[in-house]
Amino acid sequence: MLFPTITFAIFFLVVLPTSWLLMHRRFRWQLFILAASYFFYGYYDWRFVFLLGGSTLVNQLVALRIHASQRDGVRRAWLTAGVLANLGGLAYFKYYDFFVSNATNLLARLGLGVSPTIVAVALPIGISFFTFQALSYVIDVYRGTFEPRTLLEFAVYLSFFPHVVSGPIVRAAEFLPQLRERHDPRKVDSSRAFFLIFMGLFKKVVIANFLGTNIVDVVFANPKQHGSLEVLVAVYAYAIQIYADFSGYTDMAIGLALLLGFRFPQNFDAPYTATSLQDFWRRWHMTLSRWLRDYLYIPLGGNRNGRWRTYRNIFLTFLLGGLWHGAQWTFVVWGGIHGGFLCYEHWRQTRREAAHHHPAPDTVRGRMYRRLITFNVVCLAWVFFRADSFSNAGDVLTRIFDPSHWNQAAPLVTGGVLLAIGAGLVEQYIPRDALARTMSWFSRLPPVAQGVTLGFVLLLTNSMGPRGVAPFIYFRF
Amino acid sequence: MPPPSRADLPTTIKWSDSSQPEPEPRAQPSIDDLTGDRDSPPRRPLPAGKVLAVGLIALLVGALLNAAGIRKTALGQPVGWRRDVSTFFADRLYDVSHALYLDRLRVDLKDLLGRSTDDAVNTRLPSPTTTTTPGPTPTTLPPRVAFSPTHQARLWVGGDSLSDTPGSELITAVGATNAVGVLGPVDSHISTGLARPEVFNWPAYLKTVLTADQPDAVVLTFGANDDQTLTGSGGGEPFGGPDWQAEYARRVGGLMDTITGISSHPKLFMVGIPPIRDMARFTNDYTIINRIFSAQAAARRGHVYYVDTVSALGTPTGGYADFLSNPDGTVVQVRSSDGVHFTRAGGDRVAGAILSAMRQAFDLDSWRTGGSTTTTTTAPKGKGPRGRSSTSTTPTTRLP
Repeated sequence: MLFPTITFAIFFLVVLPTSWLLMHRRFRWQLFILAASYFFYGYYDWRFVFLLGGSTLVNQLVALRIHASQRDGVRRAWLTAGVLANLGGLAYFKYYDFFVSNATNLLARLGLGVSPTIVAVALPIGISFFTFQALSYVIDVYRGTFEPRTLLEFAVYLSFFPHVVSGPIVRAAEFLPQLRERHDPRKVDSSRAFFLIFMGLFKKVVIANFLGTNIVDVVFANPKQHGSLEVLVAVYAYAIQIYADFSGYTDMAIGLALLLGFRFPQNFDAPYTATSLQDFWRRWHMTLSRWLRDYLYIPLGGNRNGRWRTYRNIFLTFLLGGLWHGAQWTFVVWGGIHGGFLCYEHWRQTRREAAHHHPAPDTVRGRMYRRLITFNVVCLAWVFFRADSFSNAGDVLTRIFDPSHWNQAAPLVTGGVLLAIGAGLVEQYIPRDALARTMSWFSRLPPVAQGVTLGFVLLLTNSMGPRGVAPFIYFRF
Repeated sequence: MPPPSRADLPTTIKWSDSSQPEPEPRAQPSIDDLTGDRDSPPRRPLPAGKVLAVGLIALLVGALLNAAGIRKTALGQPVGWRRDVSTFFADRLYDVSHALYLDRLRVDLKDLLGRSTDDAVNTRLPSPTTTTTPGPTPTTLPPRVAFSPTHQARLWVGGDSLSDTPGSELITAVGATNAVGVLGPVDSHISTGLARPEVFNWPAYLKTVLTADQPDAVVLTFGANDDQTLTGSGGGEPFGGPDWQAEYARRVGGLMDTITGISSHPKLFMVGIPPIRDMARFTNDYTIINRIFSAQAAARRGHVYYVDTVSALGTPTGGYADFLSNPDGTVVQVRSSDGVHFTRAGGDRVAGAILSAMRQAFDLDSWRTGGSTTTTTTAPKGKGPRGRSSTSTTPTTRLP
């Protein structure tokens, strides 16, 4: 059930009033929202409901055992079991084909041909997201920063339909306390919620889908058939497409949760205005980068053990972060590019500090230059993220840098494509307080005027978007 | 008091920009610090009932303004009671919208975007002009046309979503021949076919596009969405029965004649449906469709070529496989996780089968030796286009 569909609209029109009617009866509300969330999740493929349920039971059991035990060894053993169970499930469903086919091919190249039966394992939607959320719960309980909650509360947390499929990765400590808050049905922050939902809808349906169908998919399917300009614009278009697609989805998820009375953490903060890779990761998929920092980078040692260990930890974190996105070596290279550039930035900064150099003055020109560099490094990495193989990525990059193809016609670089890319970039430079003021103004409109305004946004979105609803890019992660 | 700078906010993530040791994992920041909504101007909250009212008004206004699009979406649903109910309400909605002139905004917007036909519904389908009643198989084939780098075959590729990856791989593969030029990227329209002209009318679309492009070769892939009740003129038949098969064959034949009747007289390469993970559907449904494609192509031998994908992507027994072995022993995934579509390697195999058929229809290689070409003129009875066995040498034929 995709958010921008009539089916979901009907589902939500039932869930919203029922949820608020039951909100004051906590237990009933939890049962209801759990049932609604499982229905939502099972709508994709009912078989995976059992996987979600199984993950809930296993992680709750582990958390309770960790909490109940006073002995460090036992606690650590349960934690290890929990982490292995989670990563084992993820490895099987997401990486089984990848590992087996790579191992088979390696053996074949070594002359040790084997013929295993490889069956493509169906990837349960959202498994990467709910596995990370479950891990955060278990690890936080182990660390003693969070106490286990009831099975029902944990089940609601893991399956809550606004975030179960593609995040944002909401941690237990951010969500579970809200289950015990009193939510006042007379005070729903609807203007921010509607703003996020409709903004997200526009970004997804109009900008992302338009760029995807009109240039990105066509060029990446066959880069050698296109001129350098067309390929370069397609790479920039993909940068905007994936931003509009994923941030659009999380905007909708945050807005929907808000209508139900729940706050989710922000997931994007104008990432293409970043002036460095460090800055980029403070703005892009913020809930993932915080997760990777707290549950991978810091446990690896962070920057506590010297410069080279720090580089190793950064690099490793990003390699694994890349692999988290999908079972393909191209994702690992994507993570490697980010990790490598972060190490470079760190090295340069350390060297500057060691030489007692003053930081460069913060001029507008300097900032724009750093933004340009950062954006292009990010786009370089996106080539590997989008390409389905190294040869495909190689074709894209070769074509961009091959001067003999710069004069080739670029029929796909239309005014609409450039406008959509521009809109995706300009949106990030709109001052946040201007958006906040707009929301505040919108909230003071009479409800009828709010509804009519949103109806016109639906007209624009539906008329300007391509036919049909393309799945969200992050659904397959 | 000025708002805190970004660096002061606890959302800040510092990967490594501090030379100070990082603290041990600490207590989580509050959710209110993470929403990015601190220090925003105050907003007026609404009671839940009014929130619902705003949502309903938005949907109602949006539905009235988009009534034409909703009507088309409703028509595109699978045939059955849901479609009947949806189209009933969508038609009423459209009537109201039209009476109030609310549909004009969408029409004007679509005109502005150059997409004025988006909401149009055209269910007219052509009938075949070739007789397909049982009789002697045509044995005389048209001459095999030669192409070269200076006189390239103009190739058009399209179809449903199954055309995407093989089409792209074909475009790459024909590049190596130097004798084929492509007319554009793969022209794919997802979830389309010949069963539901109100969703997408392929014959009407192809007539327009191909008349403009004047291709020499057309590669068309669809059928996998057609195992359903037919709608449009001559429709109404549930899937699979004799009447359904007769009507579907009429549509396929009409489409083939429409394409080959374009003034450039292109050869049509009709790509069959490969085995899918749901083998029951393949066996019960897709083999019927493949058989119709094959029979209709055979009736137009020399003009239409049926490309069998079962041998390219199936197991030795014609079954489904996610992974297949290469001659060097390495394995390669050929199908995507949905068990229907292709990976690039799978697409490559289908493209190979299409290119092989193209080489039988066209002479793409004699320009390399600069000589004449071998042109097939006759074919034995009962064999497909690739079953030719008697050949004669004739001068290379070139299109004007």
